[in-house]
Amino acid sequence: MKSRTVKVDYMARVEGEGAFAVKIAKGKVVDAKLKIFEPPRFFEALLRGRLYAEAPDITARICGICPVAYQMSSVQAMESAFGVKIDPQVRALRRLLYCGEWIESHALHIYLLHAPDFLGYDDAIRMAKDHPETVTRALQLKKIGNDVMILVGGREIHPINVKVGGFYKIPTKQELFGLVDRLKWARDASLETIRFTASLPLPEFEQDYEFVSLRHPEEYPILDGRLVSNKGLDIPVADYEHHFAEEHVAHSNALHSTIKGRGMYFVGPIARYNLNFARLPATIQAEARSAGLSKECRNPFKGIVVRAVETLYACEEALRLISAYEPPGQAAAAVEPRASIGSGCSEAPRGILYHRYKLDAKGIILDAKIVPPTSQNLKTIESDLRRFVEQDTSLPDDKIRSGCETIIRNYDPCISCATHFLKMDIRRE
Amino acid sequence: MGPAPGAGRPSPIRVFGIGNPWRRDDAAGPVTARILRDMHLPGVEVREVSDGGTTILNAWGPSDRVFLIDAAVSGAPAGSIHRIDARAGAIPSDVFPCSTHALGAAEVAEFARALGRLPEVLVVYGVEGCDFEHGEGMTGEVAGACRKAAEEIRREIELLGEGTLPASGNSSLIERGPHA
Repeated sequence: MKSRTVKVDYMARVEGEGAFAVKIAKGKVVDAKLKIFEPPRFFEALLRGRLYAEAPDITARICGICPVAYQMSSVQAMESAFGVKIDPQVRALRRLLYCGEWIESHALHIYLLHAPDFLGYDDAIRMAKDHPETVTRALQLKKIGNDVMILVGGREIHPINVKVGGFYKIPTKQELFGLVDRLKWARDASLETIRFTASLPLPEFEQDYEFVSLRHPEEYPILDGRLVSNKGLDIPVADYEHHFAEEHVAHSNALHSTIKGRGMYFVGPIARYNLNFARLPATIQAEARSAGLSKECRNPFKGIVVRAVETLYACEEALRLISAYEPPGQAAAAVEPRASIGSGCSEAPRGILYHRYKLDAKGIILDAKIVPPTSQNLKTIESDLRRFVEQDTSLPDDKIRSGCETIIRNYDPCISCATHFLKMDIRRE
Repeated sequence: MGPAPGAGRPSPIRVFGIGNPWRRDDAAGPVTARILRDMHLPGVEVREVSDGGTTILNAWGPSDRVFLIDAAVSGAPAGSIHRIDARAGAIPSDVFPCSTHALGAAEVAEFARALGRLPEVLVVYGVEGCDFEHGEGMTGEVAGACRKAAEEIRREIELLGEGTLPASGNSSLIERGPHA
């Protein structure tokens, strides 16, 4: 077969910029790469020499969509290093702040970034012309998530109220109750969202993935827990680097992560859902089942449905947290630096986000390691692309292109976090 | 289901400067907005937007008068100023840059049109840029054009206050030479 090339110079509806290339020879896929060409931003290097207290605000700048994830992983790493105990209500407020981020990030991805793929639109603006009520619901839902972040975090993008030990300022009960009516509306909108995603024409596609997420003894995981997988991993966060490795590949400025000895793995909503289904309230389990999900999902295209289920969970959890809220006696626990190493991991909307810091006796950062969820999914995305194209290499280029773009968006990649991202290049020989 | 409770807040005139201050000339929107904010115009809310633009769509009501300012890349000389009445018709697709992960002024306006949420007045100003690489600092022509654009918007706002500007008018695309 004569060789041919198909390109998407900059893929839209992902967070960041990069390229994709697939090479097909004699009807077989011989290469599939995500080329991440944006320059690295060196956050880990610029953290060296900075005070521990600066980490949550510096690392929040890595991402405008999931800054809370960076703040939560960093403060927990510092608190682990210094042996700081957090007031349970401070922890509840952190969880509430994180629910706001899940709501806004999931609403953005479900409706504005991913749904156009399944409904046959080039972008959400064209979709909005035919589905104005759906898109209006999306924007309002996203706004309510942002409003939670504004109240608890001080502002919606790069919140300013988070510190090691707790918060600078804590909200009153009355202030939090002011969110209740809107969160109840968001809960109803999330139910609509589940039904909407369940109605989408989602392709059948499965692989034998290793799913990795946090697992908490009682809660659906957001803030903390042990790291577990469906293939036997069960470790404390502090052991992360004993079991996971990062490697540089020539075609990507974002490092690729692997489980040592096993290779690629899968993080994010589907991993959380599969490994923590029992921790969802029965009512939400029932909604998931009514949307066609069983307690385990192996189809990455159904990630959009799982995100909708998680959005419902985040709304209900936010309402539960507000209902149970009693302002803590202190906004933040005292912090006494010491020479130490601390690690933290939380569930960003896109999956686990690991931070580890080495600190001196004054709390100066000597070394930092940050592993964002998108880096951890890159090998799995490349594997999905290869398998997808192999299913039928005779498809016309535009079908391959749109299918590959949808696969990439299944993972809601945040390339700005992993470094930045998409240009697509299909070669046939 | 109905609209979210508390959505939308009435306010007469809103100005949004859209762009990334750390991508050189892409800062034209936020910089122009900053100049306007420093003018302390009564009854005018000025916001810099660098978070992707979707928040703007929830930020105006149907009776608001809105100005959006963004960097433009139409091929005109750097520092040229475009003025487009978004109520009069679709924003030309070749004036504003496309972003992979954010809504620019044109997309915000077209989103609002698709959703039937155009405000009473929606004027889009574009400041032609030429350097969108990483880093702070705009080219001289663009910095000068930001001051000029801010002055033109101030004059429009004054006319709105006097009720002498129609709520919507014919689409216009004004290209001028650099204002270095």
